[in-house]
Amino acid sequence: MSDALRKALRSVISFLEGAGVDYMVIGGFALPFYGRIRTTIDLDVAVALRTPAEFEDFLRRMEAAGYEHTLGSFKDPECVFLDRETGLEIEFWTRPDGVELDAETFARRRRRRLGDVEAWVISPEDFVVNKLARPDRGVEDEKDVKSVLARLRDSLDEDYLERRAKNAGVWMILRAIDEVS
Amino acid sequence: MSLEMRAALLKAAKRSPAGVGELARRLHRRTEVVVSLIREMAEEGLLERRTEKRGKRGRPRALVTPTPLGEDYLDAYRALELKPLRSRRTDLVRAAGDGEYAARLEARGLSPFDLFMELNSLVGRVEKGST
Repeated sequence: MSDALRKALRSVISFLEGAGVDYMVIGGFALPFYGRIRTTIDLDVAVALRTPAEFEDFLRRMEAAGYEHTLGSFKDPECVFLDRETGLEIEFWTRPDGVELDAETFARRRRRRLGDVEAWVISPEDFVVNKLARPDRGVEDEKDVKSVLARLRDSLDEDYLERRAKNAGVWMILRAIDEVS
Repeated sequence: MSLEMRAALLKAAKRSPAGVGELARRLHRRTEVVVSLIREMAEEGLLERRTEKRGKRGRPRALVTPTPLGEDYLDAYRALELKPLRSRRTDLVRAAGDGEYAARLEARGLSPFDLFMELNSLVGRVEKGST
């Protein structure tokens, strides 16, 4: 594993663990726990920042920790920070596509080892819904979902997945992907 | 049963309430196949069977109609038809194989996440080298 990438990951996870906010890794860095192995260029993290004041406080603390705020405000679903030292871009999602950041979602997240640090990772069911609910859903997103369905076929919570997929309006797309064989 | 077959049967039954024979004709399928499909979809709550008396004589006619859930299914299917999958079948089949490969690695005690990090670093080095 690259030292720079490992270091960047360790830094941001340590920051989040100490920040006292509910968070979970989503997107490409969550994929290897549930589906196929492929490369990705940035780290996506969902964070529960529910008020402008919480957002501003988080932003201040990120900047104090050495991250540069490059894009997005509280009004946007995501904001982007740059780890100046390593060049890693971190996208913080306060409203991730299709995923409600409620108590149930956070209760279902998984504790996983990301290199040499432990972190919270989105549940596989919410991962699937998040991927399919993207307004710019593409081929790679659908392939990610298919790989999760194939790898975790017997361990997904199907009732929860169905409920969340229906809420997000992606149930039929999910069925269509699942039926391809 | 495929999404398409369910939708086709719902569309055929929605056109006007029909018996099994008429639905088989509309779908160009054998009657016994349609009977089996109807049974399965009735269990799923998508179709309902009701009987209709034809005058005072003769056996009542069994008609098949979509349930409210079946109507919802059909609406959602139509929405899906407008938002088709972006990927081809071969893309998805390959992705399923990749997912199963990751599962096999994990079963052998290897960490898919560590391999992912190695791969990311390798690509990063190649990109750096090419600029």
